Amino acid sequence: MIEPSTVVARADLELITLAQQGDRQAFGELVRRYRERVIGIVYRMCGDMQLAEDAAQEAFVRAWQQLPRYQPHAPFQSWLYRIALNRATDVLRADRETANVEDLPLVAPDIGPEAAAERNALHEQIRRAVLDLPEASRSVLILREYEGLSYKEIAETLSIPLGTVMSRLNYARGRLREWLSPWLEEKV
Amino acid sequence: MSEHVQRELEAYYDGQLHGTQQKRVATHLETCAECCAELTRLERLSALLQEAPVPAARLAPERFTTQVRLQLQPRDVPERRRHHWAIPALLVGAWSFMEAVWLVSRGLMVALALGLGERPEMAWFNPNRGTSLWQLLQGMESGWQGALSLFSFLSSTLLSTLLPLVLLGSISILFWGWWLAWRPHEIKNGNR
Repeated sequence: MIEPSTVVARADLELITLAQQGDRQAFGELVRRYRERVIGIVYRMCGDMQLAEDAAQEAFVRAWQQLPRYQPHAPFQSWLYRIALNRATDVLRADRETANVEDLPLVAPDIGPEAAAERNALHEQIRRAVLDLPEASRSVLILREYEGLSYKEIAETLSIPLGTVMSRLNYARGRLREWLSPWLEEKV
Repeated sequence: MSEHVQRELEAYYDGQLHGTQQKRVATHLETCAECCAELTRLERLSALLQEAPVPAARLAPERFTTQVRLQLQPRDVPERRRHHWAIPALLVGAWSFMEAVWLVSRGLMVALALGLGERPEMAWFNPNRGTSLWQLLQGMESGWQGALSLFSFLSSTLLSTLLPLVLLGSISILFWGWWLAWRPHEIKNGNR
C-alpha cells in the first residue's frame, strides 16, 4: 500500500511501474496528474465539456487496461494522449449531433457592443474554427498549439511521419488564418 | 517567395529548427520584411488560439479520479503467477519421495540386520549377499580384480550415503530460494 503523502512525490515512471503491477492507487495518482491535460485535449477535439469529461474517463480506463503493454522508452504523456485522441475520435463518430459545428456561423464579426459578449463570441468562433478542421489536422494543431509538443513527439503520439506532422500543421494554420482573419486583422 | 524561408518559417517559429538551419532563417529574418510579417501572423494566430480557454470541468478533480478508479477492473494475473504454487509443490513432492525412499531403505537395512535376509525367501533383498568389507580386503591379495571389487564397494557405499543428502539439500535450497523470491510479491499483491 502507498501512503498518500509519499505518492505525490513519486516520479511518473515509478507510478507507472506500480500501476503496471496492478496498483490502482498509483494509477489514481497518474489520473490526478494528467486529468486536466487529457480533458483539455478531448474538449478541443469534440467541443463539448460533458462529452470531454466522459471520454477522458474512458480514455483513462483504456489506459489502465493497456498499461501492461506500455513500454517506458516511449513518453507516457504521448502514449496517454494517443489513447485520449482515439477516444475523442470515437466520441465524435458516435455522437456527431452533440459535436455539430454547423449550427453556428463560422465568422460573426458583427457581434454586439458589449466587451464580454464580444469576447465570448470570439471564444466561440475560435472553438468553432478549430472544430471545423479535419480531425487529422485538428489533432496535430491541438498537440502543438495547446499542449506544446514538439514535431517529433506529435509524430510519435499519432504514429505518423514527421513530414505529415508539418504538412497537417501548415494546413490547419492556413485554414484558421483564413477563417479567423477578421480577428487577426483587428490585432494588427 | 522562393528566395524566402517560408517553408521553414513554421518550424522556426515552433522552435523545431536547430544549428545552421535555425541560423539561416534567423539571418534571413533580419533583412526580410515579408518573412518577418509572416512570422508575426503565426505569432498572432497562436495568441488568438490561446484566448479560447477550456471551460471549467463539471467534476472536481477528486471526484473525477474516484469515478475512474471505480471503473478499473483488476487485471488478469499473468500466467506464470497463476501457477506459482507448482514450484513449491514439486519441491515438496520431491522431498517427500526422497524421504519415503530413505525410510524404506532404512527399514530394509534394519530388517536385514535383524536377520530377515538370512531366510531363503528374503534373500533377494540382501544387497551384498555374503560380501563383506573384510572379504574384499582379503581379495586385494588376488590382484587388480580384487582391488576393483573393493573400489566398487566403497564408491557404492559412499554414493548411497551421500546422494540422498545432496538431493535433500538441493531441494531445501530450491524451496527456500523460492520462498525468499516469491513471498514478498505474493504478500504485496495480496494486500492490493
